[in-house]
Amino acid sequence: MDRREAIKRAALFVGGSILMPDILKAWGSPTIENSAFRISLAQENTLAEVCETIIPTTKTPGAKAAGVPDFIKKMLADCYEKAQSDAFMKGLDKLDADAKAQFSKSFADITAEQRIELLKAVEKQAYEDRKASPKTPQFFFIAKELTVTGFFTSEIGCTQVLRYEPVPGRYDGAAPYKKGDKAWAT
Amino acid sequence: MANLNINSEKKKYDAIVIGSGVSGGWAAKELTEKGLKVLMLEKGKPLEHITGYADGQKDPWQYEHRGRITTAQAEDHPFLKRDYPYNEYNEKYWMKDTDALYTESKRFDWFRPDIVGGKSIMWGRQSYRLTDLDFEANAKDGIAIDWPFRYKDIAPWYDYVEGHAGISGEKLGLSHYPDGNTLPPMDMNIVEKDVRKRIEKAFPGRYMTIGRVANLTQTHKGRTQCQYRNMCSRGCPFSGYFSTQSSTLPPAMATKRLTLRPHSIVNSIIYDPKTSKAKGVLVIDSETNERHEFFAKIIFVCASTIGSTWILQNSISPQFQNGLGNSSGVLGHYLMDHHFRNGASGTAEGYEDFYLYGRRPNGIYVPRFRNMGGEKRDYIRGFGYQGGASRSGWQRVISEMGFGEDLKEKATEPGNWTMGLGGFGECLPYFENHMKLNLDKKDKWGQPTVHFDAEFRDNEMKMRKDMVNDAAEMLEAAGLKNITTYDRGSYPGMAIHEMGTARMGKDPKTSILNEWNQIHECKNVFVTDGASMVSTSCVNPSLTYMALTARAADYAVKELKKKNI
Repeated sequence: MDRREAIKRAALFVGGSILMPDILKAWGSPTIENSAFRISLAQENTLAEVCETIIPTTKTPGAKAAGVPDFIKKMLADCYEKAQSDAFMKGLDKLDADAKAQFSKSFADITAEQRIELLKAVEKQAYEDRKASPKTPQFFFIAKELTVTGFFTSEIGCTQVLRYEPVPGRYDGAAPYKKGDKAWAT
Repeated sequence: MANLNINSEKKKYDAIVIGSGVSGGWAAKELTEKGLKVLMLEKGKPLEHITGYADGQKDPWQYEHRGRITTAQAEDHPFLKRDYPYNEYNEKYWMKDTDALYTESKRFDWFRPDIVGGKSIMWGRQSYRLTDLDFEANAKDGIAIDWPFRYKDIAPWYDYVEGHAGISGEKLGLSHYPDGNTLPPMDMNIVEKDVRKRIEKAFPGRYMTIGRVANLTQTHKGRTQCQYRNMCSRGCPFSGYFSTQSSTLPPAMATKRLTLRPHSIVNSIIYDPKTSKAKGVLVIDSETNERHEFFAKIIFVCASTIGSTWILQNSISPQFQNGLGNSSGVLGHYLMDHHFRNGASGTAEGYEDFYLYGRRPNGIYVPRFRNMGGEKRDYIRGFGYQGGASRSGWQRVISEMGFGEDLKEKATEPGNWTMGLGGFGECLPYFENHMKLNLDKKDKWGQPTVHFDAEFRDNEMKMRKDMVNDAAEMLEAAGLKNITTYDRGSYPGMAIHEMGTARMGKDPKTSILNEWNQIHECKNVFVTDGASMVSTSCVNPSLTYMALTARAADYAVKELKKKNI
């Protein structure tokens, strides 16, 4: 996906039609923004790989294919307080900086194993920081909650990874289950 | 829905019904079926049955915030944002708080709908009968005032409204949990069935049953049975649960005697000193701000507990300077709600070969068992439990450590079976718990707002200890493991079972309404919603509003025919 296309797609999710003037402003610039939230192309690339590291492609599609990065941008822009989205963006930048310091490449360009290693360190730190300061927003916990939620409520997550039945029509409180059967999406 | 032409709008009716929720819908149905020409006034916007429920057919991924409200919505809804009933799936059904901000001495959560059908669209649908355990309680305890009737007086009306609304449930043959005129019960799941047996064995006199719920378990009066989608609060395109639109509005409309006027805020009831009766209502059109007067022989006030009392308090005349029918001074007092949000849960082992099919919009119910048969706790009255068992889903992995392939695999399979019990407790009627007009602060339409001063007190707090401990003991006896208790705290209004403030009673000196929900001092006005309640019981109250409304409508039409009103 070229840069221009990336910006256009992101803009559709972040602003929606109501914020059309802002979207137009974003054209041709590496940053999209509205009053509450902005994300650079570099941050977008990091975000996509963070999502994919949390829910990777396996036999079934992963977070990127399910559109989770766009969902997270939408949520941060619309539903999160500034302190939370700021903490999130800082976390993205830190991951990218860690990658450059340790592997001399951006987070998006290192290997999947290297991403897991970096994110594990971030997770460990997040648990420690939360113990010390339970109310402070933590990048890792926001990223994990949004990725898991966004993925398992996406069309791919519901219908290809889990089982989804919009109109069950009846109730069976003792349906047989064998190990390996998929869980219900809802 | 009525296509209105204001210029030629009819101004005189046989009856005016204020509100279109559970109570208003029943009033409109009963009064029109008995031959009256009725005007139903609803402050909210129109909501067409089925075609109006766009959200009732959506998949999870069609919600861009997956159910969460936005920060902008939270700003417009500083009270509604406090709890889950206001969410992305049904946010358009609720009123914008900032159009009429209220004030509170202590936290009070007031959930105001903004649609035809009122809260009958978003309600929890649990439908239980009060019994003489409730109707005799105030007299026996010597608190507040006695209910002006007993169970035998209202039992036939419970039969009647259950028969039309379609309430599914189990018959247990208990005097404190009387059998209803019910449709076949929903099924308990395999864990619940075992837990029930063990609880009933370990605690003689305690029972566990499937919830009595206003969801259909078979086709009923042209409505399709519940499809087990558990998306009720968005509006049901199958008519699977009771709402004004699915159940009471169609027969009322079929009489051709109902006019429904949305966007109609009733400002006050107009009192006529010459007849000592009400002659009509003053309405503010919420869209145009125009004032309209409508006139009728009888008025049914069904605007919700707080809405109805607000209208009476705002209906000032030389004869009633403190609110219509309020010579007693009790109007606005004895505001009550159930207290809840506590209980226990645990995991059930040995059921790994079973899972659920379908999403049952209902749980289990444990009828009240405390302070019965001579038992005396350190508090009076009691509580019931609602709850259920299920296997946890993908959500559980959010709070567990780890990410990546293992996490994805884990989330793809169901987790443990868990079972919970959550209490719903009775709240005593206290004079001090009250609402009043706030004349200093006006709403968007220039009307006084509401001020609340209410709290749960000693009796409720003592009861809450039993609510937590009994739940844990019962789950333990039922063989559940890893039992944890919780008490997340409860504030008045939060259960959306607000009651009282225009109570019934035998004596006009201590009550607003008589045994027929008729204002003692203004005989052609009836208040039949939660405002009329004398005590709360511990059961969900809406079914009682239905029965009271149908009973009052029957009485009102008879009195009208006898020319007594």
